[in-house]
Amino acid sequence: MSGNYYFVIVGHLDNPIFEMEFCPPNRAAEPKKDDHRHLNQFVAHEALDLVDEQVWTTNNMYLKIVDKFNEWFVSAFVTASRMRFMMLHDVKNEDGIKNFFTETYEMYIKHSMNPFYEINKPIVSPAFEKKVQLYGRKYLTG
Amino acid sequence: METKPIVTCHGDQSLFSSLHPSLLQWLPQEAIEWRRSYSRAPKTVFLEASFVPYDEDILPSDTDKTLVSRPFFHIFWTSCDLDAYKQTTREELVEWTSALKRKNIPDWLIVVVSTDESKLKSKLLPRSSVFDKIKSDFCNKTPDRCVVVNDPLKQDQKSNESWQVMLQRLRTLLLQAFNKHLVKYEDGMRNLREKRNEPGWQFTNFFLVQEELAFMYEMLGLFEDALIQYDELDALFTQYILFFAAGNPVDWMMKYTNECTKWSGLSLRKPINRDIRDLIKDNLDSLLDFRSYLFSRQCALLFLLNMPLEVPKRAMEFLHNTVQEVRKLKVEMPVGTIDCWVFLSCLEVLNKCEKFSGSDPIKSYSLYTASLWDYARKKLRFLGELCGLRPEPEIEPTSDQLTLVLNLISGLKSRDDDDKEDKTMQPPEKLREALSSKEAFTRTYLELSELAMGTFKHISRFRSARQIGKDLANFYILQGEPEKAENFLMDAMKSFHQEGWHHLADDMKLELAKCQKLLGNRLKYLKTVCQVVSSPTLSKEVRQSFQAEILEIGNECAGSNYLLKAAPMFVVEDIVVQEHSIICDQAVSIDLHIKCDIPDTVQFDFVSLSVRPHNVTKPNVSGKKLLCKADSGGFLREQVPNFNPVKKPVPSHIEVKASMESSSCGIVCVNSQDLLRRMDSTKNYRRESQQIKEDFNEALRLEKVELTPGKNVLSFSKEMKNTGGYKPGQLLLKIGGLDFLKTLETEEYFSVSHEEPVCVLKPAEGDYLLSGITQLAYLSISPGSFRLNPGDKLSLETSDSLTVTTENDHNMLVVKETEDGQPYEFKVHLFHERENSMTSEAQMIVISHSFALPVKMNLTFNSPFWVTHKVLTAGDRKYIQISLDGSTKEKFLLTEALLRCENPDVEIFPMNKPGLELSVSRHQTVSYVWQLKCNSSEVTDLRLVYSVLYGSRLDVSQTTHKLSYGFSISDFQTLYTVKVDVKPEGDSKDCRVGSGANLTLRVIRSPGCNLKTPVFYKIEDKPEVWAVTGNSSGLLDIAAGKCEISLTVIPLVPGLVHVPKVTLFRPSKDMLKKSEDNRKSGSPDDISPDQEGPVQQGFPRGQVYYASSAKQVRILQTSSKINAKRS
Repeated sequence: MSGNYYFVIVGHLDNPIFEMEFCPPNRAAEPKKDDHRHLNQFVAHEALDLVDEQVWTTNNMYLKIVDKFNEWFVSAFVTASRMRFMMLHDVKNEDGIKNFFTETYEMYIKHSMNPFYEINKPIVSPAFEKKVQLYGRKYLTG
Repeated sequence: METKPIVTCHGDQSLFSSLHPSLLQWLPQEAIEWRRSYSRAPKTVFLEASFVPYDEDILPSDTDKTLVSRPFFHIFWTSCDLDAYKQTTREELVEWTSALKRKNIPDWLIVVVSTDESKLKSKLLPRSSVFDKIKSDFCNKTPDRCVVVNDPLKQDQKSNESWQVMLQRLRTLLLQAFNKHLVKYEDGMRNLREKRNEPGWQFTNFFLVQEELAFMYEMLGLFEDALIQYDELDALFTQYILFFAAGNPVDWMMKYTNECTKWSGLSLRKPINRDIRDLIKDNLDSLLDFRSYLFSRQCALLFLLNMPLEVPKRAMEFLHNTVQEVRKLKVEMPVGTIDCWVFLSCLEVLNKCEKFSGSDPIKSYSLYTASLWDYARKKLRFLGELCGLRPEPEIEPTSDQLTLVLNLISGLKSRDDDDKEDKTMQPPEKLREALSSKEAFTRTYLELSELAMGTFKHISRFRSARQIGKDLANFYILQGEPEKAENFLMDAMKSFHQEGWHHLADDMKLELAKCQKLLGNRLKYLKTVCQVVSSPTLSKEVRQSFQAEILEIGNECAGSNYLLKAAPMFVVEDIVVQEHSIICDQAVSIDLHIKCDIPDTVQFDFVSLSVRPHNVTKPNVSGKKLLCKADSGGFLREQVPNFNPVKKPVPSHIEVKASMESSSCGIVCVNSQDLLRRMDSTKNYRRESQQIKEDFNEALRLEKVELTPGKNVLSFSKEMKNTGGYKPGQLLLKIGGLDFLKTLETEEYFSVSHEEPVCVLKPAEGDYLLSGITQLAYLSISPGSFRLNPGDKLSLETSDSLTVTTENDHNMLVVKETEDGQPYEFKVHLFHERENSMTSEAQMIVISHSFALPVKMNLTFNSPFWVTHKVLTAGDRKYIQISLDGSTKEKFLLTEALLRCENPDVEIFPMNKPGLELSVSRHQTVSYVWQLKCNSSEVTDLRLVYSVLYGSRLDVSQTTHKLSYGFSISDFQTLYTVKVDVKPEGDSKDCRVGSGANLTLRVIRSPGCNLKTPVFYKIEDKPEVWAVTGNSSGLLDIAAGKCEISLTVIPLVPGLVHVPKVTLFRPSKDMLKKSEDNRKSGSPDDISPDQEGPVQQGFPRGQVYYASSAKQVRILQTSSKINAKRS
């Protein structure tokens, strides 16, 4: 069961610092609609309110599905330092997303320990990107 | 739920009907604890029952699986006496019990109602009452199944007690019966569930079975348990759908994939929707039917549980899931129908919630209703678009779309809505109306949007509210009301920008540009377009097209001035002032590094850079600047140029009230004015973004500048006319009517100064310039703001008395190379005519082509010496003394001093050693003396010339110069000689204080003097020293050449005392005349010159020789005093 995923890390200033999309391998070849990408951002941005709200309702970092937008679900994960990982997905995949978040969190911690990386600045590391892509294939689209 | 567990009654019907009301009333009065199997928590239950007459036919068989409609319990009522019992009742009872036994029903009770009579009898004959009989006949093994009630209609205590006992017994037994059946039923249900994977299993059947259990629980008032049943069913169904979607189809599921023809939405008005339930029973339900029914049941239970909050919370989940399921099962639904269904369901839930929201805090509701409103809004919009009800005024729905509307409406099953008590508009009606016309659609959509937005704002979900705002803006734009859209877009754009979602912000900018173009507000449009052009995320084509548009507008309105900020299209990265200090009329050059965020090259009409006065001496504030840099914590604090920052409005109190009175239904936000007020009102917006253009008159300017994308360097240069410190002020880029303005915040500055050239002349030796000698001096020229180049010629002009010669022996100086900053120095020889004064002034003028004006120098020359003359008199002899006071450190050598006189009657005899060489310096004075001998007394005026040759080491020419000093003297010949003598009177040798002395005044006329007129004498009045008796003044006749008078004076102080000073005056005419008269009349000579006023004239200094002016007399102390001292 594989659907479309859009992953974004949102910093403390509500700014996106890392974005990535995951498509199922069979559909990756399809031309991406330009509008689509923006729509993802719109949805993710809108859901920030809900993430902020739901952070307080649970002790878990993984908030599960926080919002629904038409056919899209928004899952969220809030790290200890209140970085918000958000995932837009059109299929339910609770465990996969949780695993993905956990692994990505690990990677994010490693990345943030880099003394040259400033918190809340966009992540441009290709290594990080590659890893996230790998986890995406492993837990989401794979 | 209106149904209650069924209990049958048999026996004495009239008795029962008399007891029935109180039974119904009393049974639920007390609770009973229900201990349940499977270690489920015990529950407290209030039992109720509906009592029906007994009929053998309704007795359920053992295999009967019904639960709700089953008669659970059976009661036999009797109040007969013993005879009647024996005759009829016993038979009845036997029949009844056997019937029950046949059906294997153990749940029964025999109630014996006894009257006072029977009670009496029972006392007489124990164990022979009807009760006892029945007990022994029927209840041998189960004695608790027979109970006696004493006069239940009486109000005494005893009957009451027995009544309560009976009730208690009834409750216990009822519960037992329920429990037994439930356990059995649950077992059956569980078995059924176990078989769910077997072929032929029907979900519908299982659903009905479990629902029956739920009904049962509901009947018992156990709503929670009932809800659990539904939730379980929900979960099971969902699981099946997931399996189905995963490719494991089950037969019974196939019916749900059939085409759906009804989409009338959820109905929550009745607790049980019988119509749908019947459909389910008949296996004719669709997925939507089933889901709607399930959810409506859940809602009903939630309301019963008094948890209305849960309804909207679950509703969102429910709607989403259902839509997903419809999609997963690939249910064929005409386009738009599922949206209709969602819309209707949303409104239904919201309607229902409103009714229950009375007491609950509204905030907690809003949390869940907000997204429902939003969902309904989205669906309505979709429907509107589908049905051609788009807001554009010019687009009318096509016939296809009209047909679609009809189809959609036809799918809304008109309900058997006869319950007119519900006055509010039902969702289907609302939808029908909204789809009926464009106006209605617009109205409904706006209403929903407003509600959704208000609710979102109320729960502080500003992002969601903005999203709706954005949609509204689109709607308004389509509707042709861009003025309403602008603020929404602006708001959204700013918030996106602030939070760093640049893609989104740029999208908004594009929208905003579109909107503002429609609005026709050119300035705002331009501002937005500038943002778009410099966007890093938009495609180049888009940016290019907008840039072209900007240029076009610029050319179109060449006459007007649209003031825009240069950023972000043109960012000034650096300002370099080439030379910080320039001289007036020199050109200042400033390099401007501009980064252009534009897709294409732009040709500007001109670019100019204004300068503003700047106080250069101000201490540098670089430290402060650094501090500011460190403070800006990231790019997000930056403002959007041309726009205000967005602030989150403080969540304030929202007052919402439901308005039910009209036919429409909705929430009215009372203080929506405050809450929905845009934070960025137009007024603020204008004020903030307005820039004031500085004075560009003095600006540096470049014509026809081309700026290319990326980095550009513009070099400005301009001759500065005025002195002062300057700072680059604003940069103005002009294309047609567009002014791109950037106020530069820079520490760069330059100063324009004007310094006059300064020339200083200094002697090579000594401190002063000296006149009278040729002196070597250095002329140093500081060119000031001007520049002297090697080879330049300077000409010198001087005032008359001054001669300057340069090394080349003419008055031209040629500039040689010097080190930077050092003044130019030239050697010159100076000669200034000596004048007989301490200092003398002269002027020198330096003229050069390089200087704007000739440089004037005022020079002060000191004379090396200062000549004075003096006439000295000794009797009739006269001497001339010439003194030279030196003024220099250096010695001047004087030789060949001469005094010449033109008058032949005068002879001059030098008293100096001939050939004497004298030297004079600052501390030395040289004097020469000559004696004058006049051969004639006629000589009154005499002109004399003194000359001396002087030379000095300082003199470069090493020659001697002649000093001549001409002067004249007059009235220098001695006319009178005055002698004064003081002698003691009498014989005494010495003058004594207090005793008179004889003063003899003798005036002798010089032999060469022919004056016969008398002279006037006056004894100086010194009252503390001399007391003069007699005339202290008077006329002396001098005709005889000699005259002598005596006066008595008294010395007043002892010691050596100057004789009284006598001065001669020329008498005036009046005085002479008076003395003449006096003599004739014989009166004494006592003319006082003081009394007569200043009539007498003194003689010139040389004409009277006071021979005794230094003479002194010894005055002794009086002898008496001495004697007294001695004694």
